[in-house]
Amino acid sequence: MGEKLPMIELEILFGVVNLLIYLPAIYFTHRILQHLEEDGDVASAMFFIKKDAEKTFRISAILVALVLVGEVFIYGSHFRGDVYLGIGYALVTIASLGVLYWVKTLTSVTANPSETKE
Amino acid sequence: MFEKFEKTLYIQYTNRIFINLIRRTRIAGKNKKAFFRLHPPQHRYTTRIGPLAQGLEHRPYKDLTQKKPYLILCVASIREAAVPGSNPGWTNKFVECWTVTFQILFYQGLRLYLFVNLDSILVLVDGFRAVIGILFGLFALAIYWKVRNDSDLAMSSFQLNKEEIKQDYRIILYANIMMVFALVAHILGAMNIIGLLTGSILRTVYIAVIAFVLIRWVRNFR
Repeated sequence: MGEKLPMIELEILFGVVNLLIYLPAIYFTHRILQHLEEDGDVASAMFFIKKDAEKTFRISAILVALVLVGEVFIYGSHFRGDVYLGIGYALVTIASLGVLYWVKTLTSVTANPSETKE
Repeated sequence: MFEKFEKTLYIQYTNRIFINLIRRTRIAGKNKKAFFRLHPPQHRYTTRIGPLAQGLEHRPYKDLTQKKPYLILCVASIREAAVPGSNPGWTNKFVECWTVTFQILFYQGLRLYLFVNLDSILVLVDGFRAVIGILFGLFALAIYWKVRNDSDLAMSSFQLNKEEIKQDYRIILYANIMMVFALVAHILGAMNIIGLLTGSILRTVYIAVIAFVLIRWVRNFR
């Protein structure tokens, strides 16, 4: 696993892709906060998460948990080579997608709690 | 853009190599053998600037090993020079060795500091983030299992009040904004260690902050 990768391209790709993930994540987090400011209630809205939303929430939690492996791979790349860095970046990017999925799920739930009520 | 940057670096560095060559030639005089023996191969010069010019094709830890032959060469020369009479050209070698030492101390000093120390810090920060990342991932898994086992409603046992939830999401919002800065630093600094280190530190702070929020959530499960 000591192969060489085009490192600059990899670093930039990682940065750009994650940037594209975190910008909408900021928007969705802002929407949740806005909802809370407008006298909404995330805590109570969470009670109205239907089974579908619950599933997406669980999926997003699993994706976020991938950061666990990803960061270990990134650290390992200092000793094991660039391929580890590539794998680590890929896993951390998937985890970032999980963060986006997470806030998006909560945004859709908190935006219309009455529609999702069982 | 990067090719231009690389080219500029190479030209600058090539100029420095030529200046060094001229200086060495003057010092070594006619003792060509000593000159070539003490002169480090050129690829070592280029690999020293490798992380910048060759696009981070190696990870920082290799930098230490690449400097090793250079230092060994210097130490060997000092040992050799310390035995007067054993080698007729020992004065030249001593002067040459002093030049090498001088270069290491003054010319390469800043680069040694930048590339060795900052690289070590990058390894430490990455290691620290790996530890926090493990905790972060475990808390995310805890939330997954909680939601999975609660067959009725997700997060139904959430015990945080609205103000706490608002505070948490505000923290997440600020952390996400900080992550954007981290990624911009990462992209802009993809060719140098300072940018990577800045991005790495900010990403570590991001993970620590989100992990803190997740700890709060997991602790408040009923």
